[in-house]
Amino acid sequence: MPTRSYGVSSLVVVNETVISSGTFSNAGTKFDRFTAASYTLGENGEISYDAIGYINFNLFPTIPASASITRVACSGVASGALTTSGTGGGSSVIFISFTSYPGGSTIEEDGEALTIEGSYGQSLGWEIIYDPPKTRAQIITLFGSAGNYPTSGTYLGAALTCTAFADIITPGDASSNATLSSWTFEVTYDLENYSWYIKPTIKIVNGQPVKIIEDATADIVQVIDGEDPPEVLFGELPYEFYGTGEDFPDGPEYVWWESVDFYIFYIYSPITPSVPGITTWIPLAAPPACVGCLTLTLGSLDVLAADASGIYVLTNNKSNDTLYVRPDGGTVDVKIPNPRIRIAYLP
Amino acid sequence: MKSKSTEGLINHFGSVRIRLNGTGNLKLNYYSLDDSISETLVTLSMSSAPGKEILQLSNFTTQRASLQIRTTEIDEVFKISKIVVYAKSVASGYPQ
Repeated sequence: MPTRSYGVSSLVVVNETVISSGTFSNAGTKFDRFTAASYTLGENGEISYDAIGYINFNLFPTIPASASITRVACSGVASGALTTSGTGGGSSVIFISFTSYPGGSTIEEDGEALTIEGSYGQSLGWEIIYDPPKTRAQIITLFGSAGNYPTSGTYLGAALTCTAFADIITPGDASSNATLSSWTFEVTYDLENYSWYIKPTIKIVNGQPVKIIEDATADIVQVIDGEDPPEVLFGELPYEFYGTGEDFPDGPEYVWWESVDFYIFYIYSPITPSVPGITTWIPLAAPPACVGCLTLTLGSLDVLAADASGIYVLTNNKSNDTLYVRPDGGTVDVKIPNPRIRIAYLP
Repeated sequence: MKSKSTEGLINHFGSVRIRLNGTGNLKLNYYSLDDSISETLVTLSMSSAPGKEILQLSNFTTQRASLQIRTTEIDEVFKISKIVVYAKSVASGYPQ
């Protein structure tokens, strides 16, 4: 029985399907800890790490409202005279302990509301805002100390939500634009489900480089045509956060893509997500690094013959199909779709 | 001698012998009429020069059977010059 095998060479080929998709599933309480030798408070609640030029935690807007900050520590400031430490009982409670009364502190009154703020040793600015506000009488009752001042070792309790943590270290205030040494931030929070997808709205040829950018005004991930290379636009990331009934505020700060390489994007995550089909997670060690930053390799694109020209060449003894990729002119060998024979029914 | 018709008999397909050259893995499946039942045989690892005809056992019982042979990966090639299907009648019909 003579046999002959053929492969097909054809023109190609674009991708019109979802490039990649998946779901993060990390139920349960997570623990995270950020430390560094020295941080400088920046604007808008950001913690910038000037020692290496760039690090952007954006901790405050990205901590879920359901989080429980269990420890805020700051040591080594001003020869160690001032330490802040403690544990928070229950949810959304922060305690700060002073070994001595922080000199320079003042009590500001705005009507019935009262705020304690001040600085210590020209190095640490701090502010505690009570929400709801407390009056002076309530403060005195709370601390029971002469002069309305807390005594040494007294815990200052502030009923703040986690997202209001920035009020402790006030961004933009002159007194808080200071350096903290040996700064430690620990937080536990729940991260349950997170889904994402990347779906270009124009055709991307397999292997074609694209530029991934972020645009908060966009509501989907899309590809902008007419650019060279095409730009993959990420706006309000299509994620959903379950469990608490609240979305992460300012999602793109929590997960974002920033790369000129189409196959890589960064996910700012303190944990390693579990994404079906994605196995390569590389913690970033060098700038632009941040604790918990990871890279995710999307993998290769599925190539579909959505734009095939119909020009085919049958080649004897060719054991695969060759697709020509436009516009680069390269080729890619793919398998012949399951070649088969089937005999007649017997007997 | 009067010939006996085999029409409609239930057959047991016990093996298939193939003269086969190739590379990669060869997948074999039996299908009944209308593909209502099927059986997957053990995958054959092909060789360009096996030096023998390969006998593959099967255990498939139906009236009539069709054998499908295929590859599923890139650069797999098969060349078949003979297929002998061994079958034996085991029943005259299905219960009414």
